[in-house]
Amino acid sequence: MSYIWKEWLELSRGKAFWLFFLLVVAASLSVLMSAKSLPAEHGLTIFLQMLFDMNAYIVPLLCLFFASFSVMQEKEQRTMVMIVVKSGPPWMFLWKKSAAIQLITMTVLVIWYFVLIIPAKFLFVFHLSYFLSFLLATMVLVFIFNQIGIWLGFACKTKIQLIGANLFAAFFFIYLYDFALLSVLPSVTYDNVHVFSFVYFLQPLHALRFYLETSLGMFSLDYLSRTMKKFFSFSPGVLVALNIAVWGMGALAASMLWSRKGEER
Amino acid sequence: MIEVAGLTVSYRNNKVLDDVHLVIQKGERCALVGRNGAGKSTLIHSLLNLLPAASGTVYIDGIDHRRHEWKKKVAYLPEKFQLYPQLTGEENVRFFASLHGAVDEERIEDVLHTVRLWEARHMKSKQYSKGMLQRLGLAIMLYYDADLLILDEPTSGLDPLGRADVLAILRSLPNKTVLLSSHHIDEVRQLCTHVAYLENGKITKYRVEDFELSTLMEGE
Repeated sequence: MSYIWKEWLELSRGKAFWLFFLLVVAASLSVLMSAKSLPAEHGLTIFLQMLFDMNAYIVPLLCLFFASFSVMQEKEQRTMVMIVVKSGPPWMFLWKKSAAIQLITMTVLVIWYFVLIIPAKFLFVFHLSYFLSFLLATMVLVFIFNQIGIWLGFACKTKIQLIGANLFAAFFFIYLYDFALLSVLPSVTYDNVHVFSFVYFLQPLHALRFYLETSLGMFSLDYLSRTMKKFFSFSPGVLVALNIAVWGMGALAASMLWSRKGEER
Repeated sequence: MIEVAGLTVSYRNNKVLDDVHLVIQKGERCALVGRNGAGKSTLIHSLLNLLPAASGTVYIDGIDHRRHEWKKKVAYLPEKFQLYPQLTGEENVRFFASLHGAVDEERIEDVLHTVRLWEARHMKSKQYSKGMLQRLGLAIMLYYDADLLILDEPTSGLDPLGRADVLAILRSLPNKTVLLSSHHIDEVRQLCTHVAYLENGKITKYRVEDFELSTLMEGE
């Protein structure tokens, strides 16, 4: 609990966190403004989809920077060694630090989306399950990129390295992954589409978008060609869980290895 | 209190510590002295199990340093620490106190009085001067009331008054085992009972009265 309290005081008294928050607020409001002319019946699904698409560009970058710099500061201010010497092993510090960062970012965003949904409720026909699906997809996005940011914070030795690593990570997930998939697309056939599908959905933005679109009823899995049917044969929930395991837990495991190494010289 | 035997630590094929043996008895105040880059911080980090050793053993109060039971007995102040800049002095102490168990508010008040930061307790630590920050670090150490205090260059970068403040606080701690690294022979003489001189990865331990400054100058 003291970690969460300390993290909250550190963040809430700094400007960076509120700039992060302001950016999300401004972008969300602009999405709401552009969605208000949508028909009430289907407006909510389109609004939530647009909001998620906006989040897919902003949230990963913000979470990467926010989480990684929080860890880098612990290293630079020498507070990490003071904590590790006084309390348990480095992984325990990592665990508590991750929990604090995740809890604070998620809580602030959840509160904001609950505030944002109030005007949306007056504009569109409200479906709680749609809103909860959107929240879940966004929180998974936050979790994965926070965890990757924490790993980068441990792995990098200087702030300049960290900026480069964060930009590369964001570039990798937003563009590079798709470029790589595009290059193999011509050789995808009915026989190997399952493998391609697995790799395609191992990208959290793809898997979460698929999950959200199917949850909102925007993406029908009926009337597909045989190849496309095979492409979409994985359950959206399983794909989301797979991404949490591979990227979120993978980054956590990598951070545990680096958390000790990071203190060496 | 500290027993180091055959400790070897390498960094990129360069042996920073080479088969180091060092014993610091309970109640001793030992200064770790050596040139820049001699391996003083490396030795401290290895003792605290922050750096993996190639070989050797370290026992703190009879406990292997790879276990965690010794942590309650040790307070450590690293070199050039900054603490949490957005937290006040009091909040910083309270957070580090919480790592030690239930927070004792009276004790926080006591230690802040001891280091003369009670009046400045509501200031954010980013507004503290270097000397005040160093005293805040000492307040955290005092709160722990640990048997063994390990300080890495506690007076580095302080003006003469700041140094005097820190030394006065350290002198006022009876019955503590202290290991501190320092470049200032005068403060070593004021504070310490022994000197561990580190050169070329090896350690030689002296009683402070037997330690000659000329030892350091021989290689100049």
